Amino acid sequence: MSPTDKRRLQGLRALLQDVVEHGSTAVERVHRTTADRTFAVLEAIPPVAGVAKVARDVHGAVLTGVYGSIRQVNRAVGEVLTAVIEESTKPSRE
Amino acid sequence: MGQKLDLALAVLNGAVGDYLVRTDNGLALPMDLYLHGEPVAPTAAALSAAYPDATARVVVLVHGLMNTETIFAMPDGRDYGALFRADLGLTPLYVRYNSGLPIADNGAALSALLTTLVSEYPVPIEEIVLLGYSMGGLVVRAATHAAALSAAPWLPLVRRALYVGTPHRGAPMERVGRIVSAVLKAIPDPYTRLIAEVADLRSDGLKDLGDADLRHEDRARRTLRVRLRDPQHPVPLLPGITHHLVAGSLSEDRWVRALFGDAVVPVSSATGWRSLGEGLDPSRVRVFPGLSHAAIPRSMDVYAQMREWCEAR
Repeated sequence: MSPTDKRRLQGLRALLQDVVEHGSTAVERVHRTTADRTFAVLEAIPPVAGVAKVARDVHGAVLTGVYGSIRQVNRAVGEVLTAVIEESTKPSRE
Repeated sequence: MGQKLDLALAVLNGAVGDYLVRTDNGLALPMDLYLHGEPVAPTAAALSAAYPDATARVVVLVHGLMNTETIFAMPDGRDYGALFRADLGLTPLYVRYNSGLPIADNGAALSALLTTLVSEYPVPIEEIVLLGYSMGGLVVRAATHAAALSAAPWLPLVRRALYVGTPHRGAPMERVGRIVSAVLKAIPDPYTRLIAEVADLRSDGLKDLGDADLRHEDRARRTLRVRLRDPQHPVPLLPGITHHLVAGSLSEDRWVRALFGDAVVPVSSATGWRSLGEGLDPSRVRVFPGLSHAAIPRSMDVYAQMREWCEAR
């Protein structure tokens, strides 16, 4: 593999990682904003306001966990791919 | 495989090439001379090896947005460069670049490349013809502008510049995209804002096409007003060079010409010589009815016209 090919392969790996990282952050923001609107309506109704507040907190924690996990896995996969590309482009010892 | 990968990289660079450079991504294309799909280093040794029959007159071909130099290839394998070589003895030099970068940056890079070229080329260069297709024409203009400011040694060698389907007065489609993006951003809805953010990811090079911004300071004049007429351009065609403008049009119908031009660039933008400075002879402007934006960089009719212009002394 030529140095140009290797640079491009690493570039592709970095770009895919960027897409997942920025994409998941943007989708999380939309998800959170949309859910906040619903919870805001429910919290304005006295009989269900308390339950809605708890549900909002639980929902928020789940969102943070799920989207955070996606980004963590993405970074881990990126590191593995970086190592695989480096390893596969090392000159053979034979 | 090689040509497909090159084209995919060209499209990617045109779309997000500025981001690739900012993040030091290996997929970003540097500006280089290319021959038969391979880069040619601008060194004396590499140029001598690549162009053993180099002539003192050269034609520099600059492709457009999301293209490579293969955009000039005709079905029979010939292209404008090969035809100029065969008919007029001009050595064709094909430039490949990251079309997502600001046009001003690509212009400065082209000027620097040509400065190196004139000192390293196998024989002393007597004449340079510049040929820019679509965005490539704006890159050529940005290069001549940068060269004039820095008194670059290659500029006095340029006798002629040929612009093929170049949006000298901007591309309305990009201006419409700018407005749509602004409207979506203004709507207080997370989904429309997300769409606007995705739309705004388009590259600096693409955004520069809206008003044909050749300099970084030109972006300051961008507005969100919907204009039926293109604005006056602040950078005139450089005096001292004979400029020739070629436009395509889907039809001879004046309304089709006015509204759609070659399907990408309106005829008024490709031939907007009145706003580009005085003194451009109307005989140096030619419209080809029936030629779309995709057809105009590889048309024998266009070549015949350019050859006629280049033969006139």
